[in-house]
Amino acid sequence: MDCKTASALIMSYVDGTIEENALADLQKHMKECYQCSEEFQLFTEMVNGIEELPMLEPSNNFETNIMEAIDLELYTTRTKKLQNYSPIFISLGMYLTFLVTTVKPGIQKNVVLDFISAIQHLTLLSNLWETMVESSFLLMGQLLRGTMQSIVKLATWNTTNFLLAYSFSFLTLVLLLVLIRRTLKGLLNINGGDLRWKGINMEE
Amino acid sequence: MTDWEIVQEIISGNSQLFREIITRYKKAVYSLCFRMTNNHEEAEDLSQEVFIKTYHNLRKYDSNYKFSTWILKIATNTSIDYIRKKKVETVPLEEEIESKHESASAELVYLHQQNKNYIEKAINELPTDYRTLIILYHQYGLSYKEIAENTNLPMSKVKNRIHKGRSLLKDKLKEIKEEGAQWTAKQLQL
Repeated sequence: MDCKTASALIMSYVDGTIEENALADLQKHMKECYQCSEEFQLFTEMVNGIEELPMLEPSNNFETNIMEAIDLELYTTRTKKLQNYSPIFISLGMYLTFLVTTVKPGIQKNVVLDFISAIQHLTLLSNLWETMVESSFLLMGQLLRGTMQSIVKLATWNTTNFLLAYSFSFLTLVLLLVLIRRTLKGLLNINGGDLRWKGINMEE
Repeated sequence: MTDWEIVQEIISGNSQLFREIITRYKKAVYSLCFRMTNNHEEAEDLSQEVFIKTYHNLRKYDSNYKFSTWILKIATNTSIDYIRKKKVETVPLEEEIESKHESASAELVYLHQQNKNYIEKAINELPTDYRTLIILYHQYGLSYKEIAENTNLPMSKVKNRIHKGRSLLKDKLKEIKEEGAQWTAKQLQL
């Protein structure tokens, strides 16, 4: 075996791909060739040294810095995004309930009746196909007119002050719910969002 | 949980679990970045950039590959891009090898006087392209195929560069030993 072949086999040995026969030939050559023997020793020493290089540790705040830098909402699902608007939905629900059930029964009744009327007209419109089959366009025009009248009644109802006052308090309620939600989220983030119990290492 | 399961959880909306990924791979990523830059601050900044990139690209992770290989690929590419931008090495590979050899002697004596890990220093002396492959192969245990995918190089080129890198390192080690022997002899004479 010549030294060039031996060098190539040493590389295979370092790669861990050398065959048994080839290894035996290499070892035989190295007994006779000091240069290749030295090369083999150097390579194995070098590879062992690299494999034993220590894995280094970054700073203590490494994880925290990264978690603060990334957008935690990036992979939020659509359902969760809808949940972000939950304060608005809850407030709307509370207000509609309030509007239907509290003071000024006279005005309430008109509101409810007009609302029901508008719904009825819209329901009839949704059966457009049946309307076209059963009657003429004239009937359709009458239904459209009726719907618009109900909607206009609602819009021009003597509610300017009512709407202003209740819109303001509605927005205040939404803001309050959003602040409560964010405070709760902030409290959770203090522990890195991790709600699992963590044991304390008494030796530290 | 396996890496794949954690990734699925994060993509489903549980982003806080990314902290677990960071804990598992921070040493590997930071060590690689440090071997590339030899600077703790730069290595820390690069490592953070690697994890941020990883987080933003989680949907692209292919479970046919090991997560460790994938994140090391991001780390390698980020480090190499940074070094090239910094223009630390502006000469062609071959010229750089020669220039490093010329200035080796004084540094080798310094090595012995400072009692540093000569293998670590020898690796740091290697040009970036060779150093990357040697570290990925011998310290991180990636195969030739994984390194080729990691660095977007043909496998034959990866193999040749690793062999060449090993030869350079071997020559460096030989020089260090010879210099060390001469230095010891001089000390004895004194």
